[in-house]
Amino acid sequence: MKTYWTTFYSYKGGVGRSLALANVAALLVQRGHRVVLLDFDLEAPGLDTFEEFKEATDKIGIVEYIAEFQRNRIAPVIKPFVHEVKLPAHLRGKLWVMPSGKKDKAYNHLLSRTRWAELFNDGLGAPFIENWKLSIEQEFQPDYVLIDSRTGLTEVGGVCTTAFPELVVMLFGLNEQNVQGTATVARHIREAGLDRPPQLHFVATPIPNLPPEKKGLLRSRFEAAEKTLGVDLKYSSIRYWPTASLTERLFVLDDAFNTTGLVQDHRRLCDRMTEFNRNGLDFLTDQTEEAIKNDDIGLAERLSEKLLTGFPCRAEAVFLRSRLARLDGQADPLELAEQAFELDPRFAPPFEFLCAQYRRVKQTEKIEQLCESILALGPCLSSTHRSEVLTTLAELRMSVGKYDQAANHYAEILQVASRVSGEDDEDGLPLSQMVNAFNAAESSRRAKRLVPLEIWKNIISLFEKFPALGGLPTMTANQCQAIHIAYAMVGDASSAKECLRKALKAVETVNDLETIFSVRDYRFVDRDEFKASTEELLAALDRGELWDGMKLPQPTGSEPPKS
Amino acid sequence: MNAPKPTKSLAGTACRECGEGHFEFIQIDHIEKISNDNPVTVPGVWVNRCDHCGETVFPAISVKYIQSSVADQTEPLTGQELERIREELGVDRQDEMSEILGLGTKTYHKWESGAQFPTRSMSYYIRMLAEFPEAFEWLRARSWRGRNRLKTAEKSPLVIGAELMFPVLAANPGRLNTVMTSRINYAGVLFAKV
Repeated sequence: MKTYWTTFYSYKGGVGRSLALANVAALLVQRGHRVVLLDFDLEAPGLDTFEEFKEATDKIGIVEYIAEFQRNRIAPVIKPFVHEVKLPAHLRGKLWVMPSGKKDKAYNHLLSRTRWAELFNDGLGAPFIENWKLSIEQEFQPDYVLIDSRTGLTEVGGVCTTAFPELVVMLFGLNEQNVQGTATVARHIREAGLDRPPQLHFVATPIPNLPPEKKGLLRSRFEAAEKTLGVDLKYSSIRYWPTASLTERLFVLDDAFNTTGLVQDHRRLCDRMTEFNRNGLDFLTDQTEEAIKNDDIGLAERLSEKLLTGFPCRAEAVFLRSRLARLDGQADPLELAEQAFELDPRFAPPFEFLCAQYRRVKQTEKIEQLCESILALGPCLSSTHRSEVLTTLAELRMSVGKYDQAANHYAEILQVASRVSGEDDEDGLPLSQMVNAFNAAESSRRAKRLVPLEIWKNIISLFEKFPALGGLPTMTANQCQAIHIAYAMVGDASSAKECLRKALKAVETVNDLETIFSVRDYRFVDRDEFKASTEELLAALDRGELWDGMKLPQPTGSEPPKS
Repeated sequence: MNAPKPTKSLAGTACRECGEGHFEFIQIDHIEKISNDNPVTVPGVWVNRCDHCGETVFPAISVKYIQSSVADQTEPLTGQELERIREELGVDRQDEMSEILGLGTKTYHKWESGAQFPTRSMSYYIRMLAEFPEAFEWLRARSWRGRNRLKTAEKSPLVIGAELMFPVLAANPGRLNTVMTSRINYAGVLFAKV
């Protein structure tokens, strides 16, 4: 594998460089990457003020590493200087921080004794840095190393932007001082005479949210910056976000920020960065898509080889090989997908592929095993992911008649959902609320547990508040078919029948390639099978029972029966 | 690369042109004429040909194959063309040419000797320089690589004792070698010295 080195640089401070770097790092970890951060802003270190990076606070780092080299004339072992940071356990990647150093008395003394010019004049600068890079690459095997550089035209800024990276992200404000300074630094980097000069990516930040009558000024500043720097800034800027500027935190990991422009802008920056990295998994993923789209067997073979040698133990890479194997038949796609799943059960694509495969050959017990091994990860799973897997497992167990287990799963899903919706929103989403309540009730009913009348009534009221109208016909058909059980269980046979007729009507507009989730079977069926099962449900109601033989309570007109 | 064989053919159907013969499904060596250049021969192309009048029908896949073969054979510059361009631009030596173009010394030599071909994009670029000599002169006047290259004598100090000082690097001869031989202007990496 090849580590990609990126430096975040800004000519002036206060543009949110450290904030951007930390959040891009968090996004990379969220996407499953191994990431190392280097806090090279030695005079004004900032990364360890992040609450999330507290494991690296007051620990030895860059300054001590350099000092030890200058003292002993032997580059020290890197490990004690780099510290693993614990992010939420459900994130698939890993993060380490090499802090600027312990902020004690010795720190300032050591810092003042660091002489970059001497190091480079002695001819030791380049091998020292290369040794440093290689040590990090071998010890931590990161996909990305992000360097937080010092500002201004300084020696250490020069080392950060030319000696280490393959890409420099240049963040700058739109005022003249920032733009001019950034242009000067860009020129220095380009003219440093490197064999492989780093790529430059310019990001304007923070972009203020101005009232319409002031937009003209913003546009003219944008244009001036584009002209001075000679680049197109249309898709690379980060908007100003008042609350973000007040605290150091990883807002990209906070669901409350998820849809904000701030997170979108950081995601885009992260995407651009991964696009620059032509040896990274993201680029290889894009290439795999290309090969599959164009049926390009030559490309597929080259990619498989690259993935095998570069990323032998990464779930993403093994699964890409599985996808490529479906194209060129060089290996067994199923075996590779199983291998990918074992490497990281939390990586969803192999799981989805394997489920589809096992479903096709009717090996449902294998799907149950997959789900169980994901659920066994416990706290390493986010609650959303856990609910998704539980849903898959519950549907499967319903479809094969393991009602008791299914009822337990649906009860847990309901519990988690009510906890989550209780946190931010009284009502939650009415649709998912109804679906969760229905599944819990229906699985309990089939498991021969007592379902209180109140619960069915609640489901009906949710359904009537949010009638399945105007949605996709497949969804309308499914919901109407399902809800007939609730009506039947409160003794309202005529409404139950009405629902089934609505389901039959909705299914008329479904084309014969679509599938519909059938409540009787708890799986997706085609249009004709759906029609036939709905007719069967109707016929049962005429006999005063549900299709599975459960008797309807005695009807008392439109009023539900008293229990 | 072999010419792809179309899955469908007109073999056995009557010729619409003469109305007398029938189509045969055969492989031919197709000659494509190109303006101002030698014609390109594409061997083994699958076509339908009338056994009476010689009317030839090209399947779509064969047309595509001919186009891509011609592109492959005409777009990269040949050694002779490169030599001609270099002489026209007034550059006497191959290493001087590679210096100006920003290439490694051996790369350009391999191209001109025909041991390797430049990429398509590089060929476009060199053709453009041949077409606009003033652009080439501009490039030559910059002499980017030459200006930033250090004299060999300046590279020596780091070699002594490097294996002991940089154990991780020393265990990786490839990377060590890259550092020793890289032509970095070390002053250039320190902004304060610029």
